Amino acid sequence: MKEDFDAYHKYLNKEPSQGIDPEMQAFLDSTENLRVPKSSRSKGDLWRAIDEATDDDTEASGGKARLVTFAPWIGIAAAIALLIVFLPWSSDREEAAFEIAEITSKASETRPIVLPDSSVVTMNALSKLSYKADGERLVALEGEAFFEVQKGEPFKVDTELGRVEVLGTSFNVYSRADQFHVACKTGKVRVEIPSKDFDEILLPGDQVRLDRDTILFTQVQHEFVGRWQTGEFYFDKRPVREVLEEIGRQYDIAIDYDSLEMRIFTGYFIKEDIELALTMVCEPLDLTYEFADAGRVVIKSK
Amino acid sequence: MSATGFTKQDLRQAYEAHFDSLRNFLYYKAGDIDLAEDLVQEVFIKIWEKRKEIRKETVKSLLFTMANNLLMNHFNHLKVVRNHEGESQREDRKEMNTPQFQMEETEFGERLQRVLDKIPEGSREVFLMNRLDKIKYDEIAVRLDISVKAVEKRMSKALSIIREELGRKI
Repeated sequence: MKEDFDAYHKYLNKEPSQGIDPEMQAFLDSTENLRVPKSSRSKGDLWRAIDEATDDDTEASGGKARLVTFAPWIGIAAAIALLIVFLPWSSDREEAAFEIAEITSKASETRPIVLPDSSVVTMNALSKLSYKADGERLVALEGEAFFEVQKGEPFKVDTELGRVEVLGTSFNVYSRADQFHVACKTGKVRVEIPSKDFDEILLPGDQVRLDRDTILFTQVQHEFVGRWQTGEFYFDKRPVREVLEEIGRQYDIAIDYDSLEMRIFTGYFIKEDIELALTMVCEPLDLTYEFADAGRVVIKSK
Repeated sequence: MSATGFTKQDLRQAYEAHFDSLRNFLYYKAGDIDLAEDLVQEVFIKIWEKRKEIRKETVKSLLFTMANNLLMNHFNHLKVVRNHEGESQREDRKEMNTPQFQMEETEFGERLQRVLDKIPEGSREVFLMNRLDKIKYDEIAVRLDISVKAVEKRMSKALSIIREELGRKI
């Protein structure tokens, strides 16, 4: 039964409308007089508690990281378990599993893909996604993508450095060079990093990051997971090299820089205007940028 | 150190501007005014912790998203605790209640409450934001970070339930 409520929508938006059933109208009008109950606390009381809690001028507590360590004997047990569970999965990975569909995104392109099971993958720039068209819920990813997975059988993402397995949920996977990050937005996400005998379940707001050889567990606001899809790129204590590479991918431009390896950036840039993006990253770090020639930017310390 | 983009004054302004509609929003979803107010406090404290990543212009929809997430977390946590205690899954939904309103004419009030009970949560919050807080669809869309079409869809759902319930002439 498909009903058309256009007249009602107009009425509810205080626009002129016709064809409203009088009884419906009386009902709708009566709801306007409903009141949310009062509580024992006033708006001012509630503010005072917030005021106190936000009063200290200490740094924001976001981005606290804890290092994960592993007892060696657990590692051995986990390695054996992983072998048993994942051998069939990884052995034919190159040959048969991913030959069907292969999708790549260009520089500065964000690309939404609907998979055969109607899960949605939004690919960030310069990424590659491969999957079988037979409906098996297994994709291979190089680069970065945000996944919104339909409920159903386990859904797996295979990358160079680690694997992700979920039921129905949304999460972000980043797999470039020696970096592998997974952040969970909703639901539960199982992440495995075989080289580290890592196998853990992430809950919303959890992020695990393999940074070369170190595994870090951090918390992110759910609304910042996969935020790049809105054109805002957030970084929490990331090497500036990683940030500049992202600008390069988003604007399809080569960025030259040297001796910046140790600089750390926290903040964001917007995909709107390259000069604005470069300023947002360079300014707080006391760097300058210069357009050398077409498609090339040189970054220097001031 | 560079000045933060979101000051204590901005926080206060956001509180003044959005306290009522945030509290009501949470009440529409969970039917518990004390919980709603606790979570509103938590939202503003969290916003403050994240102030370096926040711009005044986008704080509104962030407030509502955070409020929603905190509410979900709250119930997920209860669920985990209860599952742990060995209770059945079925009882979990009971925690999210339909809001109760003060109503004068009892017969009419009862019917109204019955109708609201039938409207699913997503539609109910949108319907009540429009009716009680007098917010138009485009503004609801901004707050909930959804499209106007999605607001229309949720409202249509509420309207079709209302029509159906009124048709029964109880």
